[in-house]
Amino acid sequence: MNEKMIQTFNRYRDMIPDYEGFLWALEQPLPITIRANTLKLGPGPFQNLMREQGYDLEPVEGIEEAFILRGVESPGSTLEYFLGYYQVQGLTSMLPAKILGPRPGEIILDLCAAPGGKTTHLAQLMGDRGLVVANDFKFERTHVLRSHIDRLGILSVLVCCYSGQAFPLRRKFDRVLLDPPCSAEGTYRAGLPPTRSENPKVARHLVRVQKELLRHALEVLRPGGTLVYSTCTYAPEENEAVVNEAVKEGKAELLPIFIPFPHSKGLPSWKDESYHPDMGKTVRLYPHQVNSWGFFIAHLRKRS
Amino acid sequence: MPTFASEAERKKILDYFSNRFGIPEKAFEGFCFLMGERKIWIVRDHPELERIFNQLKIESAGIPLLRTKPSMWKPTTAGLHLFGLHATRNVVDLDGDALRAFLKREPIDSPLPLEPGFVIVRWQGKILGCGVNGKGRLRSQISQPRGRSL
Repeated sequence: MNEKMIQTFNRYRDMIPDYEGFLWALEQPLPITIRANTLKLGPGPFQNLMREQGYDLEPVEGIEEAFILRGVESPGSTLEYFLGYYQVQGLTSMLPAKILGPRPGEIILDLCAAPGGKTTHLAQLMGDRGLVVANDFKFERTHVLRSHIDRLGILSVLVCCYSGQAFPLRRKFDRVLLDPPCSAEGTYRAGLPPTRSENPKVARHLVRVQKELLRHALEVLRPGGTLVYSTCTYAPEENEAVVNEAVKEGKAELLPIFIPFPHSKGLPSWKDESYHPDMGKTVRLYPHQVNSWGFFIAHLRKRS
Repeated sequence: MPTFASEAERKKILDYFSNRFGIPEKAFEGFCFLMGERKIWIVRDHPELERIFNQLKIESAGIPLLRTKPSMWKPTTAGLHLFGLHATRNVVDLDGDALRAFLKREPIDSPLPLEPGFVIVRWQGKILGCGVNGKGRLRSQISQPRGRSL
């Protein structure tokens, strides 16, 4: 690991359990995980088809549509990918949509949707019955999102292009997924070194945007509706501190989360700041606990 | 922003798929068609769909089903992957060698009998996408980047 990364992660030495194990896991190759598109083939038939075609596929216990794919250098260049039978997606990235638990017929908002792994997963979990409004503020980024929608054959997604903080308030949603821009420290293993958190000005800007987005996401959520806030960073400033503000203001309450993998609870405090007692209901996933990249997830319900 | 198809436009779309590919109207039940400038989209129907279109500026909905020019309509790969399964006419089955050539966008001999124009191309029962048949040759209409990536 390069010196910069060691410095970046060093501030988490006392926060991350088994810190040496964490550092070791960061250096390990990241397995390729794929999500079967159950709108086209159920997990069983998908597994049979892939094995018949000679793929080395291992199911992931706890997420029936998730598989580890081995021996394929470019999983986005297979015939099965082209036919929309699967989506390449990090294992921990599959959790936010599962936790949000959309039901057929509901109207869901994915506020920061591109590149679309979570959007398409939401539609899949609803059996493509209902509506998912997939928003991203950068029009160019919606091209990738749309290419996944087309390839996976999803008919229930509407794409729009608002700034997340200015998303129109006239429509209220049953559930909202908010996976805002973050410092992406958790993706270090995937070969995407985080740079955004190293510049304090950029880091502060990210936190401000995240807080604004969460505030706005709660505004467009119907009373009693649920919201998942997730990031792929370890930074408490971008995780517990952001969620704490919404909970502290009384706009939302934290809900418990079930995760089928080993994980850690959200932090009760960080540096001089203490968080809401319910913060332990949020979850942190580290790469030495689950063989994927790092994630933070909070599940909230808007108070009526 | 695409607009909802009128009854007449819906009928025209259903007639196209029925006449060209033998896809029954029933296959499109529960879906709405949206008319764009150069595309027709298909989206899952929902009691709130029209209201959402009035409340939000929607850039796209569902998947593109047809590319439209004044002179012709062309089915999209995404549309055929979903609805081509119901086709009974103008469907071509490829073997392994022909599949490789097709994906490389090399023209291959058309099997007979086949009407000129767009056809649905299938391999081992799976819909690959659209081809065009003319002068005894079949050519891939799958977009170059997607075909090349295979």
